[in-house]
Amino acid sequence: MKVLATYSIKGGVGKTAAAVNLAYLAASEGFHTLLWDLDPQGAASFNFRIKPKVKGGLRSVLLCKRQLDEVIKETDFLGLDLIPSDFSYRNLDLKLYDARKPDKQFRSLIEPLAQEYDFLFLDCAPSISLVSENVFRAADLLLVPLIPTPLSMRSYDQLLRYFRKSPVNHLALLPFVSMIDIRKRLHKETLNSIFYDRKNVMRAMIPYASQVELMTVRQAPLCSYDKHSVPALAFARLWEEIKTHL
Amino acid sequence: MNTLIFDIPRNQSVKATESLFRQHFHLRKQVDRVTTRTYLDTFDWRVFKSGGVLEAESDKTGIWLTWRSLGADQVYGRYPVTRIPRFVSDLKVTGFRKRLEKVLGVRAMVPIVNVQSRSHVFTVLNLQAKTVLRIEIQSDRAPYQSGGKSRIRRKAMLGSRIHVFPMKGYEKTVDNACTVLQEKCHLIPAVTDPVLTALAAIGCEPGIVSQKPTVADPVQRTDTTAKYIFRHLLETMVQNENGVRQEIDSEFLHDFRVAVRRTRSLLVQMNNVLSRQRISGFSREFSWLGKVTGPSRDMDVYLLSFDSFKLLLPKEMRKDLMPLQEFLGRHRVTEYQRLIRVLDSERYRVLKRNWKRFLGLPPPKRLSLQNAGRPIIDVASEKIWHVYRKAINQGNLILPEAPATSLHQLRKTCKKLRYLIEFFQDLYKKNKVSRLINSLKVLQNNLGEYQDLVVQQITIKKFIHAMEEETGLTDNTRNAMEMLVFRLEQRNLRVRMEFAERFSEFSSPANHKLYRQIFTTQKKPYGGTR
Repeated sequence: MKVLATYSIKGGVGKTAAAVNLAYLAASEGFHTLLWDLDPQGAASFNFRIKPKVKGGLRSVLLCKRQLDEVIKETDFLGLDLIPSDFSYRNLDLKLYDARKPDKQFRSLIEPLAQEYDFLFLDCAPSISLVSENVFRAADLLLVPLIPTPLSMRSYDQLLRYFRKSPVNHLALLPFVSMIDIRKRLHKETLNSIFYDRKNVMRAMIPYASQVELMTVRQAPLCSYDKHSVPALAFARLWEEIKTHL
Repeated sequence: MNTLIFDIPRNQSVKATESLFRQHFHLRKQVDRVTTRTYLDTFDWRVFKSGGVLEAESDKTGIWLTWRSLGADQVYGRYPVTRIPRFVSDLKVTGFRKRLEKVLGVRAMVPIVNVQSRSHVFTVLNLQAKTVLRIEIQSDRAPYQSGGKSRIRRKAMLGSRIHVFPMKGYEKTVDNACTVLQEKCHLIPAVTDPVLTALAAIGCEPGIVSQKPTVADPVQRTDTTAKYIFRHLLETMVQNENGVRQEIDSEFLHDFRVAVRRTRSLLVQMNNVLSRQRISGFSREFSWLGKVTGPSRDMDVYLLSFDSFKLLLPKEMRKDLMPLQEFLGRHRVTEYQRLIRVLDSERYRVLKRNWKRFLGLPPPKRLSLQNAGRPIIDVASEKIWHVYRKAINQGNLILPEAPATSLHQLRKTCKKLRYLIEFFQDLYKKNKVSRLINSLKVLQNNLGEYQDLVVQQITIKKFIHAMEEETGLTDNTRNAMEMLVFRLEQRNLRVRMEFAERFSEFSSPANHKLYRQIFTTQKKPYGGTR
């Protein structure tokens, strides 16, 4: 099982849209896929019409009272399952601090799922905390959406600095441009510097488009109902590129 | 087993059932589908024996491969495919494939039966308009055998049923739905899985690979018994012919050849049972058939062993062996074309026709042949004891420096012995005969592996020359193949050293006593009343 996390220190960069669509694309190719909505806002769960609620809360899973497998919900899309968000995730850091080996909790939780799933996508909440450390240790690929703006680039540089200080050997960092609006001069200029300065940025770019926002109205992955739209095709290109790194 | 399939009684309409169910659940109707379900299994029913069902469901939107439990209470995986796969290796590398591979191994998925079905699909939605359950009302038409023509007639319906597809995380809904279907819609949980109904409709009994002939009457005339076994072997050949022609799985050719070999072996043993004049022609023809089908089987064996060949080489050399695989693949195509020509030939047709006619002749009333009218148990015991003694004598002469040909001779004798014991095993006490077969198998495995390794070394050397002549050979590939020969030789030496121990187990006093006890002192048949 390959673990892919959509992660950014900054919020509102398109992590959930990427996680939802990439997970859908993986499942539609026949890979048994699981998406874990780690964001207490529960946007990914909402996109699949699944109540952002885990019975017994997070505590029951972390204390191993319930297996992670027991809280999985099947989505409307064949081969795609979801672990819903729960409001108790807001206290995830505190709960992890109490546990033994706090930075390896996720890894041991997801280990039993490796037999059943081909891909696990982690849709992370924006922050850099003990939860993030758990994600870094559990994931094989860290997909980092970058909006071509100075603030977004600054948070990415913060992340790079963090990894320089505390490297995680097995983890590959894959940034990609997200929510780009080529009509904006700032986006255009920043884009040039992104590709010039950072060699590992993926070629596929996700445009800023109202279709992506409309996903929350349809409550389904964009690629499932409008697969020929520009952003859906961009997600498909991104998925193809990600697969070359697996 | 908690089945999730419910039969709709013939006196209850599908519409009525649907409206009864609608009173309790918020249903959303999806598109109606006309599907063809093709049930797949290996030639030896590996899926069925593991308690599963593998079905390829195709409609105009695509093909889905579903692997589920018998009774449909569990779906192990559902996988989109562009065409019905033949081997697991045709599927993408996913967890589904890895799990299925554990059941199927390298065997092909053979289409067994096709069922056309009209389905009304519904989804049960919760308050968030999320699907929590899928329901399909399926009406099956009469099934037809894969490869055969559809025998669908307009009114030939097999009946209707409701299939409940549970969704993970919404188990309560499944329980509620099952309760409503039983109590409010008056449906009965299906007693048999639809696959079993379809198989029964085409007269196919799952799980039976090839029925062994049962020779249970110890006092039956030997000539009658022999003809019965020959008829069975001929049937096995004919049954496997289609699989050979379609190149579904190499196992079909293997079974075909085994039937030929067993026929030849028994023909030799039936010298004083059937007229020598009559059977000598058949012996010659079956020998021809064995010979002409050999090269195709050899290619299959080399291709099946290819991965194990690669493992014999150091990692960095393995890729250099790939041209050999391509060479084998090319030659397999040619050999199979030759094989099909043999199966289409007049000579083969005449052999089958005459053999069938000969086997169908009534036993002669006046017996001129010594063993023809004797009870089978006497003749079988004599033959088995004789071949066993021959094996012991041959084995005792094999010293460490004996040539490979002596081991090959012993291997052939052991094969004859095994066939004889297996043909007539039902005449003797089962547990004792099983012990003998097991001890014989151990020796046969050693001899078989030794002989295969000897032949493989010679053949791979021949392949080196053939490849050089055909397409040229890079130094790396030649080195890899020469290294392979060297490794096979090393392995061969190890196997050869094990022979003495295996043979001493086979010829142990305890085993010898058992052979003597069963095949020489048994004057009264087991369970018989002579």
